[in-house]
Amino acid sequence: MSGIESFGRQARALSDPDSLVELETKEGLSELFADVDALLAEVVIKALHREAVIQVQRGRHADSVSIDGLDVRLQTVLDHVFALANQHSRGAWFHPEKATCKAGLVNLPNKFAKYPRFATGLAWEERARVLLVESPAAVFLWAAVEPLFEQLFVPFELRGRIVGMKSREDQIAAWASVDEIVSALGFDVENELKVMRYGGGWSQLLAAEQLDAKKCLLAALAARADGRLAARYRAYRLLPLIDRYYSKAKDGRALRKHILSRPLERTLAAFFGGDWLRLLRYLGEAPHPGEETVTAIPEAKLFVSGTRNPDEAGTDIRVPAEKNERVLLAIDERVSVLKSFWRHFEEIHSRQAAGTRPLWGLVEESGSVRIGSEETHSYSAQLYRKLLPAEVIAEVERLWGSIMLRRWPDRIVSEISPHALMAETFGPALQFWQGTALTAWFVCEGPMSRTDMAGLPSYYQDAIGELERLGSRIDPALFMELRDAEQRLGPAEPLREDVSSVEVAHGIKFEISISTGSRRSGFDHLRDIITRHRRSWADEYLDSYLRARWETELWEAARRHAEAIAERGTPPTPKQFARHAVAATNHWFGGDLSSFYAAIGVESTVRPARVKLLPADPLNFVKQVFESLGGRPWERWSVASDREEGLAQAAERDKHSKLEWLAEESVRFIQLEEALGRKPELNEFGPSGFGYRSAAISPDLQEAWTTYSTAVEAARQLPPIDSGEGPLSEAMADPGPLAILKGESDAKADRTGSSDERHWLRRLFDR
Amino acid sequence: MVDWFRRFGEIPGVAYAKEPRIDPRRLHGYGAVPEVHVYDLEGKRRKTLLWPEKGGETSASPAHARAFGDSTDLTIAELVKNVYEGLELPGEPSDYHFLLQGCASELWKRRREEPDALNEVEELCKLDIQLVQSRPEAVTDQYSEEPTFYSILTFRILIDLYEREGFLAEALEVAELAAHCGQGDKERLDLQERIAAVASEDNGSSTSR
Repeated sequence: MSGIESFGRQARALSDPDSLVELETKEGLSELFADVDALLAEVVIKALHREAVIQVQRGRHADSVSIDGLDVRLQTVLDHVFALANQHSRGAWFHPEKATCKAGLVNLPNKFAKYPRFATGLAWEERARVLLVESPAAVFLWAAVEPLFEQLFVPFELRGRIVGMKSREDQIAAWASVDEIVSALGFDVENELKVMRYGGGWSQLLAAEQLDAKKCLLAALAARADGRLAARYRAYRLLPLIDRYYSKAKDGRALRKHILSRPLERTLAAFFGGDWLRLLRYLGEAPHPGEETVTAIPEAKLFVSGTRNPDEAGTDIRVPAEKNERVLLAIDERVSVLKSFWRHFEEIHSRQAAGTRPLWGLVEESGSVRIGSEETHSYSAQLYRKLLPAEVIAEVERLWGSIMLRRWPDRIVSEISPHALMAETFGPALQFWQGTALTAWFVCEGPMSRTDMAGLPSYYQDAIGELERLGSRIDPALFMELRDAEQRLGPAEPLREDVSSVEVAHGIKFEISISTGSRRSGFDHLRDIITRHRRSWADEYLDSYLRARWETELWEAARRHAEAIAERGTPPTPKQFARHAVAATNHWFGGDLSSFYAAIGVESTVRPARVKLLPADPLNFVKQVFESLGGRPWERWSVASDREEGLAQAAERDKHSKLEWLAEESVRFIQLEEALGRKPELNEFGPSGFGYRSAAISPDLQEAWTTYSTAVEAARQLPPIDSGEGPLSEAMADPGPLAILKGESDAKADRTGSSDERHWLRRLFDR
Repeated sequence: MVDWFRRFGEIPGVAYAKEPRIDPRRLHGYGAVPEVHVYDLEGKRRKTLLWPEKGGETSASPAHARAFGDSTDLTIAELVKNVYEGLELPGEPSDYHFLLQGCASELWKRRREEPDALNEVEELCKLDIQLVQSRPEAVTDQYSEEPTFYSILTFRILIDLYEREGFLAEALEVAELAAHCGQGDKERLDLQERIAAVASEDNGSSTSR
């Protein structure tokens, strides 16, 4: 086809959307867009006529959006054209995983109708974080609808939320953009816009008059909206795409990746269903000979544990046998330690008896090192060190003691909390069974619980859903049995605790005691129900569950890798890809990205090096930093005798908590040093967090940073403090599970106001 | 000096008519009268009010009890009912302040789910600001040697409510009242600057930023 004759070349010569629509009609191309035009017109006209077109449903991890009132035909168009899977099948892989859907922007006329005085703020706040894969409506909004309203409703921003905040130049540019879209859509609203324009007299209007002006504009837009606006808007969006195409094309041919900027990707998704070849047919051009349209990503393949044989995989990827062995070994070792952990976890819970200490702390929940994190009546920090055999603890620390940070995939650095990483690797099963056992404990033994037996399915719905997806379903009979058993627990017996007794004057004493909750007899019965179900679950599912855990994480990352290749045409660099591989790499390969690559059958271009600067006992190290910064133990007085004493206590508490934070963050300082190969700068460490607390060291920020980094480095060189309280010494002095459970540990008394109590409160009130 | 009032509407300087659907005589604590107790602390003579309650007495007035009850599980309608009932009960000015402020803050937090509540938020903030103007001691730390105002959230909420709609003059009016209580100074200066910028658009000067 000759370039001069093509539709695209003729279209490129046009300067306005109406002319393009006319040319399309003349050339018989309008039908190509009839469905999408109808869908767009329906939504835009309804929105301008004050209907709440977009509905948002809030979700725990992502929200969802839907479009109200579409008839069957338009709903079919929406699903067919905009389902992400269909866009993928047409070769479009550029969509973000999640998008912020500005539903309120589309619903702005409706907000003005219902809440005129507060419409702009409400519209601005009505946003949804949506997973595009779950919602054709979200893809349609992202690609077609939002860009329209973002531009058309600029006057409401300029004369609303940001009035008086933009420079003259910025405002004039913004108004030019408004004029462009108003003209493109064929709206004559100059009279209504006049007073809103820069220098149009807005400052002379009272609030009620400003509101009237906005309402008038909305009414005029609604009155002038007709069925042609969708085609006009489409033409307005297509003109820059056509222009870009021919500015890059040679002999009428251009590679997709040379044409599609981010905004033009949206245009392709909106009006061609993401189909590059459809665009070429519209333009009347032939595909570039170098164009590869990937309509389906290759099936992700794993090369571990006999799941797939590389020869069977039918790819040209060659993974050396010794690498495959390394991958197998890495996963098998971890699965074996997870099973070993489970055996002890299972036994400890099954033997727990009423009247002993709770097992909150048996599974590490904190990813950081806490100085004050020791014991309360309810929580025992690092309880696993006292209850698990030393060899299990050592294996966890060996296998989960190193990670990759996503910004530095070429380095393997120290993990701050290996036991928390192990628990994360174990996943929802550990979270669910530990949580269920703890709930039974706190419901019976008190002082209070975050939920009750009847509330378990709702409280753990995410974990339960995830277990079902992984093929290891929790038997619903568990919840029924626990609910029944809860009905037969003993009556609530109040628990009280004496807090303090202070003599304020001769013969006059303040005594404070607080009600801390209640207990009910019958824990053993709940425990036995849970134990029976937990054992039954593990017998049936533990092996397949752990396999599904690593397979799912690897498959997911492998799929991402394949998608990235489909989108770019070349494999992503390790740095580009690290964020998708970080979970699988840290859970199953100790932070070694090259092992992850081997697992998915990709030759690694990175050879990560292990850098280890973090001392073997991070808690002792943190305590040394704390001391060298001038920190000292602090205890809250129950009652201050006067105002000055109260203020002095508050100041001391403030300094203490800041020094505590700075000391606790020193492990992250070392972790960054491992990644960077040098000491981190303040801006790499995080100036805002440090700046907020630096006055506890010095009023001068830079001086405080120098003192801090020197103290951290010095502490790193010191031998460990022989406190007898460190994790390693605790592990060595293991008094045995039964002694601990019977409360025979050397646990310190409850320390009101310490950070472990914060942790305790978080558990109690995190509902 | 410890003041108390039989109802919010009786505070001089406050213009408030009773919510017509409420019959205060049916409310617990209606008509309660406190006893004044005098004591010395740190060499200073202080007064406190003790309110009768079943089986004894309490320092918490009936309005105070409404202000500091747990409101997390209350619906919007229940919250609003609670605040207007509380305003009809006896209390100290600070009790009414915390009652109004607490309810306005809670409704403000829930505005996305219940946009209708914004009208109520505006009304409650205005009532609280009237109270703060006529009884500044209600929001002052009485134990501080120098007059120190508590942080008054209703100023911030009302400024936000107007500012995000572009009603700068109304927001500035609130910010200027807040300035008398030692707060909102940054907002006041910022609003003045924005108003000047909009005015400059129309008079041809170029002070817009």
